[in-house]
Amino acid sequence: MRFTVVTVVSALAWMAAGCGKDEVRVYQAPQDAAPVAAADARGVTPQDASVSPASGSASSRSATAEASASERPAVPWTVPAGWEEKPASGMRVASYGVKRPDGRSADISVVAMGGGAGGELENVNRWRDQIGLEPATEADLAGLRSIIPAGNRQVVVYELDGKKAVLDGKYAARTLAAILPAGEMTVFFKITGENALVAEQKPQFLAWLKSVDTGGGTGGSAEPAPEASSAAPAAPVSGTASAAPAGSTASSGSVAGGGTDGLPNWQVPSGWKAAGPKPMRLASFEIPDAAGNGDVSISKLNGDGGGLLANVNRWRGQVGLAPLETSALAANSTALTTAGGDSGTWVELKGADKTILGAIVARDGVSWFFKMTAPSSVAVQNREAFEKFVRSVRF
Amino acid sequence: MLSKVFQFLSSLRLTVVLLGLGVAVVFFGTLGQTSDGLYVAQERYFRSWFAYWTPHGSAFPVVPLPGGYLLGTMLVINLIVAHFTRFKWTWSKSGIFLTHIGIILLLLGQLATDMLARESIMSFREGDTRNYSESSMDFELAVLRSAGSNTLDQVVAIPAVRLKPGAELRHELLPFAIRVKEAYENARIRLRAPVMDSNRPPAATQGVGARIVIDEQPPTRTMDARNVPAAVIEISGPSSLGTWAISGELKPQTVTVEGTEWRLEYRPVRDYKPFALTLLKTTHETYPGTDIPKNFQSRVRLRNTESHEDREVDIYMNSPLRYGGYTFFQYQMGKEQLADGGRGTSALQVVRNPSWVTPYLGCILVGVGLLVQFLMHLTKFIARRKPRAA
Repeated sequence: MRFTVVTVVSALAWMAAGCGKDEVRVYQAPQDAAPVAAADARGVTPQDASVSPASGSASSRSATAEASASERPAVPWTVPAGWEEKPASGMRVASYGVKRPDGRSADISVVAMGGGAGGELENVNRWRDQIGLEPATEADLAGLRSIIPAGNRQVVVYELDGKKAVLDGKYAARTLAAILPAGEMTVFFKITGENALVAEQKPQFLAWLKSVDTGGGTGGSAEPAPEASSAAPAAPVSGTASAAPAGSTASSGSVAGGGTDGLPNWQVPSGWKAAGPKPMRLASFEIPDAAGNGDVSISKLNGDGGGLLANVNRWRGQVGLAPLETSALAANSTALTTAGGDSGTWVELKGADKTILGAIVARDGVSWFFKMTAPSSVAVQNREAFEKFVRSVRF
Repeated sequence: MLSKVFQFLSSLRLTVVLLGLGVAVVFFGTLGQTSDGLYVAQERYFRSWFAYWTPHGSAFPVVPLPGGYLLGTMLVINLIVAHFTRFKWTWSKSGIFLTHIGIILLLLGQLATDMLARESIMSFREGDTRNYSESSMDFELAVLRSAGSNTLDQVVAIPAVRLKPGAELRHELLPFAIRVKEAYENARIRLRAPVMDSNRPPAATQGVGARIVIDEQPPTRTMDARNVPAAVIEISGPSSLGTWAISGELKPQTVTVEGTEWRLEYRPVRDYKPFALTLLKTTHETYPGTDIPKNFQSRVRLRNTESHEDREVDIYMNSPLRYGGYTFFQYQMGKEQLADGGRGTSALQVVRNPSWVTPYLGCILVGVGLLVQFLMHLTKFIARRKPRAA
């Protein structure tokens, strides 16, 4: 009898030991197929695919709405007349549509993906499949592609003319797609829809491609400017294929990719934490504080960015202050010179509970905005550090 | 002395106390689930020997409890010892014996399920073929090398739990040691921004690690998110080959050691099968006008080169595929958000439970035992009544 008990207990103990969960395993396994673009962002389970874009896009949309209100929407291209903006979703950075009263429509998308995004042939064949065309071979590609200049680089464009009535069973489709390698990402610009409508939209599409600001003009890093994401939470053209972050919260955005090309040099005060990418921003920092975190943003706009007064008044509105008249601006701001010798305008806007400290520096036809928003007590403590930070800027 | 121990172990009082404690553990385990999430609560209260419940906001454990393992083990011992000490075998009690054997089988079967059953996920897109499923919780550092042919890899898979800061990992098949510098249960990877992160060094010196930083995240306990671990390791062969950042978010990286290329991949633990499934088509139907799923259906092609099987199967809700000791349930479905007409994606829950039959067997034994006992009482009762009636 005792033997039985001992046996049972030891059997239980052995089973409880977990059956080698911690052990190193050695085995042979078939090699994985070459990863295809979408699979790069590992950890995106189908559930994520079906669930998170819905919620994610909702939140990013509201974030954008907020950002648009305060920062003015900016995309690094000119949207052709007649294109209607649609909310971006999933992997889309931007989305537009064209509709005709007779029901014909075309869909325009911008998608940024890591690395070669699965290869040219695979993408072309995917697009061909969508409009009912037979797959092409590698040898066919050369005959199908045309190369057009856009901004400061060459863009590969495919025009695919579908013959089958794949749309609502009535219309044949046509696709125009452009592939723009940008650093370690590939950006796809694509219009697809009713055949004749897309053909009609071709000039607009090409003009759109040419309008794409590939940023900096240095040729080497020809990404659209980091503030590009009109709707996606992350900047579209940063991140690397090998660091493809999971889910839609691709991090890294702002200043990556372009290296220091796009941004001036500056000294980050100790205690500041780099914050994740945000729409319209080139860089963000967080100043942790128990009384409420401070938020530092750096953004830029072409030209005067709407004007000094308009921007100062926009900020004043954000802290609940009444707008200023032109004549009062000088009395309410001071001049500031950065380490690089650029001069700017410095304002301190103290609201009921929060304070904005801001500097606007105009340089080479671009307005740079340095802004700290924080609870007033936190702003007072960090005023000196922020001013030092702005003064450290060297373009 | 020994007889006292057996007396205690076999007592009915102990049974009642254990059952009462079982009720308490279920109660507090359910409360604990609100803050810990299902998986952690299961581990803490049921898959443990001892547990304690901490009210929300309290810094100290307040209610000490026996864990599920302890209760189950004690109940089994209690029942078995009782049979050897208190119960005397007679035909008239055969029903009770059967019932007790059934209960023991239920308890042991549950323990076996707990220990041996493995759940994993097989997720793919239309057109993809998979011959492995992946753990939804556990990660491993896979160190891969071509196994000499073009299609096979030799894999040394080190479980994530072994990657503790300070650990040095060696394996006879690896010509280098892996020293763990940093390890994170949950972390996000982002590119190091040259200006913004001027006060932060890159995560590692080699590979993609030289361009990224690792942001530690609080471990998640919810059902719809999972922890993605990351670590910084130093590879040292004859000399140090620098530090490398590994993360579940990164693609495989290549390390060359003495002319041989090795790949490092931090990935969900894989379970390879001797057969492969190809996802042919996904069907995702909702009730009209709602997002409420009506039918998730995956058509897969099952191919087994050894048995020369090649057939198509539909897997949908309540109609899993049972094959090769595995059960494939339809789990999730989605659509790739690449472009219009993107390919459908599907995730199958893959369950392997060698002891799946024990609960059925246990229940049958309990049922038969009760029936036997009842019938014996009935026949005895009727037999006693008969003479009086006559």
